[in-house]
Amino acid sequence: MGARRKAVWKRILLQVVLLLISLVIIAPLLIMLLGAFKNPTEVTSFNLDLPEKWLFENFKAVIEQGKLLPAFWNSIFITLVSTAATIMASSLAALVLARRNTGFSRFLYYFFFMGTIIPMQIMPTIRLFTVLDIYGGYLNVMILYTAINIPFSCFLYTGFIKGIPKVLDESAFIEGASALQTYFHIILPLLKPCNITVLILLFTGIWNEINIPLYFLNNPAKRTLPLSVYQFFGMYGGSNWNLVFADLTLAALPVVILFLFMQKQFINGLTEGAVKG
Amino acid sequence: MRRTGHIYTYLLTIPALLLFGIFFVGPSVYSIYYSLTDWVIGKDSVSFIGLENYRTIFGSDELTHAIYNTFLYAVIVVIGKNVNGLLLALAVNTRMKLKGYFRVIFFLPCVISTIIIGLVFVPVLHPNGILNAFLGNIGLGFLQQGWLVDTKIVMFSIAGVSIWQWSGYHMVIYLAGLQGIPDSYYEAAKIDGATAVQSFFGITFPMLAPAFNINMLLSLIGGLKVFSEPYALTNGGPGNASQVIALEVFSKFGRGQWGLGTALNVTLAIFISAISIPVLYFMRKREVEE
Amino acid sequence: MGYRMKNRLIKAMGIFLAVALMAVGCGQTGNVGTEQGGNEKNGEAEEEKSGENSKEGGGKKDSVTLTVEASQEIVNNIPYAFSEENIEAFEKEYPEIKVELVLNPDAQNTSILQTKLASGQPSDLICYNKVSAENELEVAKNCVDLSVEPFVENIADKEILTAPDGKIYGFAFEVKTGGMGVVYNRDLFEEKGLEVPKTYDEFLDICEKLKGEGITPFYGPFKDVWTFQMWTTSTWGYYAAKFEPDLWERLNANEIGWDEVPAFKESLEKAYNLYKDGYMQSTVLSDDYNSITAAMGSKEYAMTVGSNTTVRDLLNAHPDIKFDMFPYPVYEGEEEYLTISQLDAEFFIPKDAKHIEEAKAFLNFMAKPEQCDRAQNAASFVPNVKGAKEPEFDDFEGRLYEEYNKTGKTVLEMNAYMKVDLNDLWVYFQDMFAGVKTPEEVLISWDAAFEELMKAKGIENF
Repeated sequence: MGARRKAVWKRILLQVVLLLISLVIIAPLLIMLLGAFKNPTEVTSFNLDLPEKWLFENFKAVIEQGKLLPAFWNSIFITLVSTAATIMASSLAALVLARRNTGFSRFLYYFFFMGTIIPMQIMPTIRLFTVLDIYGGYLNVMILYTAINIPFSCFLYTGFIKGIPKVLDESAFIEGASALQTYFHIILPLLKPCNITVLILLFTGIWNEINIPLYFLNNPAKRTLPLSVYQFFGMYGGSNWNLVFADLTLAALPVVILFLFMQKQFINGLTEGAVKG
Repeated sequence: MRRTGHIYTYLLTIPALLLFGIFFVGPSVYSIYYSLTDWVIGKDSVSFIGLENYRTIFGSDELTHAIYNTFLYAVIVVIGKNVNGLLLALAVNTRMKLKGYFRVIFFLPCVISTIIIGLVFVPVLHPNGILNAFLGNIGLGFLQQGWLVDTKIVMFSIAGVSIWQWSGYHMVIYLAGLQGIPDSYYEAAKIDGATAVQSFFGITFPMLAPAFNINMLLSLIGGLKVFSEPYALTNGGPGNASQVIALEVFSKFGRGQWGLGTALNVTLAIFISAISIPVLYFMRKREVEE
Repeated sequence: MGYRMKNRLIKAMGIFLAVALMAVGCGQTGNVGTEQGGNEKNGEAEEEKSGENSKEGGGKKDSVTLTVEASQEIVNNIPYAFSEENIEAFEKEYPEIKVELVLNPDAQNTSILQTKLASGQPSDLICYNKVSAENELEVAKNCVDLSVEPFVENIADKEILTAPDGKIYGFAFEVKTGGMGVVYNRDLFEEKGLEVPKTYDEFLDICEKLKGEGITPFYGPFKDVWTFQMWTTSTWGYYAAKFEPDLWERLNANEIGWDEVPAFKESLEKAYNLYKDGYMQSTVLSDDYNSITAAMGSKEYAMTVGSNTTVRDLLNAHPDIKFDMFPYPVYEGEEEYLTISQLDAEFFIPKDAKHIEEAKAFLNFMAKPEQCDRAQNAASFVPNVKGAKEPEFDDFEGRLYEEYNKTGKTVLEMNAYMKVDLNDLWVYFQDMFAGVKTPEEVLISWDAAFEELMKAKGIENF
């Protein structure tokens, strides 16, 4: 009995400690969130006090002055297409990398892996897109995001697919399905949990990236949402931190919402993949 | 055995290979050539100068300092993120009511842009900011620091912010590893009379090896490639105190020293490859043996 | 996993793929479309894009988006050059041209512009500091020679726009008058019975008095690397102009080293001692330029570094306080001279721009008295366009103009004479405040870095 009681206490203590740690995580984010509702003087103390008055109009001001709505749609468009294209291309390739055990497939694996190591080279890439005559638009940004993200998602998918028993796809193949059919009917459905994991990682990564749009979009009407962070900090970083925070909050909101909605599948995706291994 | 090969025809890799090969590898290979030239803005001709740029890099105090900082940073974050991640995972993996809440909160910072995190942390870490105020209030005033100003600790502060942001990410991967360990192992150990510590080192630790490897690899590569954190927090300052390789590449490019910048970029890639490829090789080799 | 679920997933993935392919297709055509359309509303991304395309495919006269690229700092500093009224007037005159401003973050501006120039993908017009553009953007190589354009005839003083090679590559409305100096809270000075200092000793006396009153005399916003250099480019500029007029020439010809000019060290030491003696806040390396607004409005600080723009911004942010500026009193006689910065910005047309003719039309349109007068509504400046009206300066700018510009008591800042990027030097200044380098070591390190940079540029004697 004593031991049992001790275990209960230990569990409670552990939760209290974790609660404290979670406060450390939340506090800076709360400074930002609360600051977004404050007035310009209040916000400069950068603390966790509640706003005297909740100024929702800060958000309105930011959306209008920063022309955030078009930027939001640009971001959604670019992020969705690049994410979808990356998922398709990399899961297909990963199927081969995971299942085949030849020298060539091992070479391919390392070949793709190099992509997670090497930093992107801006200059030659711009030249390449210029030659292909697609520099400056949405398309070159989306291609670039796809190309850059293929290695890491390939890496993840390869691990996941190894966790799926080979028998399943082999039996489908014996029943006469083609490679693509096997992929769509057997592998993809089984990959559901990790699709969500990869989706979240890709979506947040691409959404938050700002260097590529700076260099590869030449029309301001095509700019993405996180870039407004720079604009706002430059314009209001001294006088109106409340507007800066409102903008930061808005730029982070879409990915936070996406994560909160999918967090269960996301974390399960990571764990399930490993359990099956 | 030969038959199964046909299901997984190499044709399936073509979309990924084309996109990756043309738009990423192509420019990268091209840049190796640039790294051997004296390419700067405004010069009419680009001439081949062999390894001169590399000699410049290793002969410059400023750049070798950036290289030192990069490795220092990588070591700190690899240790910090993995220790934190593992401890959090072990804690969260026990039976508790708030499990879901903790997993979400700890992972939350990972989905937010580092630039945003940086902008929020600059006022927090200001000498008169909330962190120092908090330390003063709880009687730990002696721990107050000029977090981003003191040249001796600025790298640690930047690494601290990164650890704050990414520990949850590594926690999730460790969690995945932990949940892959069948309960029966522990039960068997219990029957054999093993203590909690014994079963941690006897079962948990070895079974976590794959998760551990991935976490090491990811945090190491991320640590060596670090850019956004110092960029947003200090922009390499004060002075050159928090310069890292990727930031130097960026500033060399910003000044039109493209040849030198590219050479620095290639140097970084070589460093990362030299460390991570062997790690990856052993990882894969062991998996095959299993 | 149930069969139904599998089916649903396959469907979902199918839709996903379809959307992806469709979107890539749209992106491709949208790319060509928006090049011309640049629709600002740009609401429902895809559908509208394709709609727009079919409209343009219908044989309507092609419209052109004229892109103008600049950093936020520049737009902030010279709002008259980007006067919305003028841009509207231009778009009215040329209905087929639409002007779009591309704003870059300050820290990345140079890098982005250089990258786009080098890769042959620049905007149609670039707005950049004159001398810096000659060095960093190589306008002589990369930009269109505008010497024979009609607008040149409208320019009152052509010398101001002329590059070292004798050609004109850009256009700017103004004759530069804005100066740099110590920005101060005039109300606070009056309240404490303080006079603008004439010598360095008087300056120190003021500091001591203010400190005694519990006010931090000087606010140093040196987290930004470019802020402290306002002190050196002004004071060194004055020193050379007054005492060693050939100093810049000799430095640029490697006849003398930076560490061999004792006056440079003197200015640095004076600044560092202000910090060391507690006349600046202890957090100089944590506070950036943006924080000046709050600090100077708080009455806790009396002075800071800055320019006309700083004063104007402060006056706008705190209409109830009077701010003003006086020259740095570092060297003898300096109080009588105002340091003028190089021309803030000119508009250049890159050789690789897609719409060179339209860009020329833009400049020719702007360089007329009507436009010049209209630009005064955004902020006052002394025009360099023939027939344009005199500016109506507000309080402090009018006084500076009368006192220094009209009497010829101005000197040009050091930066205007430099051929290389000065960022390394500015970084060493931070090292100085961090206590890592002494003023002397700053100059020694910079001398070495300077040599490297000049050598890389291929300049003689290096």
